[in-house]
Amino acid sequence: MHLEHNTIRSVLVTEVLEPRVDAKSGSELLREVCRVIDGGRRQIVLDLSKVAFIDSTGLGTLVASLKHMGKSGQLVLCGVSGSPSTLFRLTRMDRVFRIYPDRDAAITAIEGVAA
Amino acid sequence: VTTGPSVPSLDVWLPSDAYASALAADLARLVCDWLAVPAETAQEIEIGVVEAVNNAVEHAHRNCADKRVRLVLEPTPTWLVMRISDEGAALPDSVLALAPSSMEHIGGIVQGRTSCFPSNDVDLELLPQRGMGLSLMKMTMDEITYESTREGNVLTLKKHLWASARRASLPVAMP
Repeated sequence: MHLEHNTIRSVLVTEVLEPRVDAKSGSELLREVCRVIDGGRRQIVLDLSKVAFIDSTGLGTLVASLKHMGKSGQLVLCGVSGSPSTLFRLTRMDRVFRIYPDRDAAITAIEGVAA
Repeated sequence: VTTGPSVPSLDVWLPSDAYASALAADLARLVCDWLAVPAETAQEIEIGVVEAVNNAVEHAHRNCADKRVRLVLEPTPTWLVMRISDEGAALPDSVLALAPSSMEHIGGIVQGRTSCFPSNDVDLELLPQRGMGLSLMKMTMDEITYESTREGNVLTLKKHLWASARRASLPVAMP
């Protein structure tokens, strides 16, 4: 799983540099997200703009990431389009996750809540 | 690949491993591109066929890489018929019938959602992490049939290629 982490002020932006999030890549993504949450990160933007496809198992790992964060922090998504957007809509997970068009909008939203 | 008068059919054997569903997705997208189906329809086809192949690999073959999954894509001018065959354990009776055909129940978990953080209105522990595959097939396909014989199991998915375009072009009713 190729990921790129960038810290912008207090927000960690993690960009997924893989075209697919499925059973294999999803479990690696979950492991990494859990690692940064356990390391104390409480404001995370997961940038999915390079992800062209997510299957139900991959979606399950995103849900698991959200559960791991719990209500002590914020894990939001951005760059969800195409097939992943259809998946979120079909499963109603677009009502569960906070989804923003791009990382700037996501960071602004997170920082607005923290302020 | 066999080519008919206007559309191709594909009949391939996929290795029953972690890459099978990605290959199936590529082939489904190839056929959809060939037929120039609407983007939303192509996305639903990809989602449905991937879940079907995942089901064969993970549940029927229990991730045994020695097995193979057969994928047949048969386009007609109106439909895309997808047959996913495996040589493993059959789906238990009624599992397919009992799988929810929508995920509206998520609406019950997400109550009165507002645009404000934190998301205290979501009961996170109730959110599903597994078991969405069959429901996704039902939500993305127009018809699903499952046949189990001594030779193996065949899941047939049928998708109308132009229904979403037809819906989009329907005149809007004015009050």
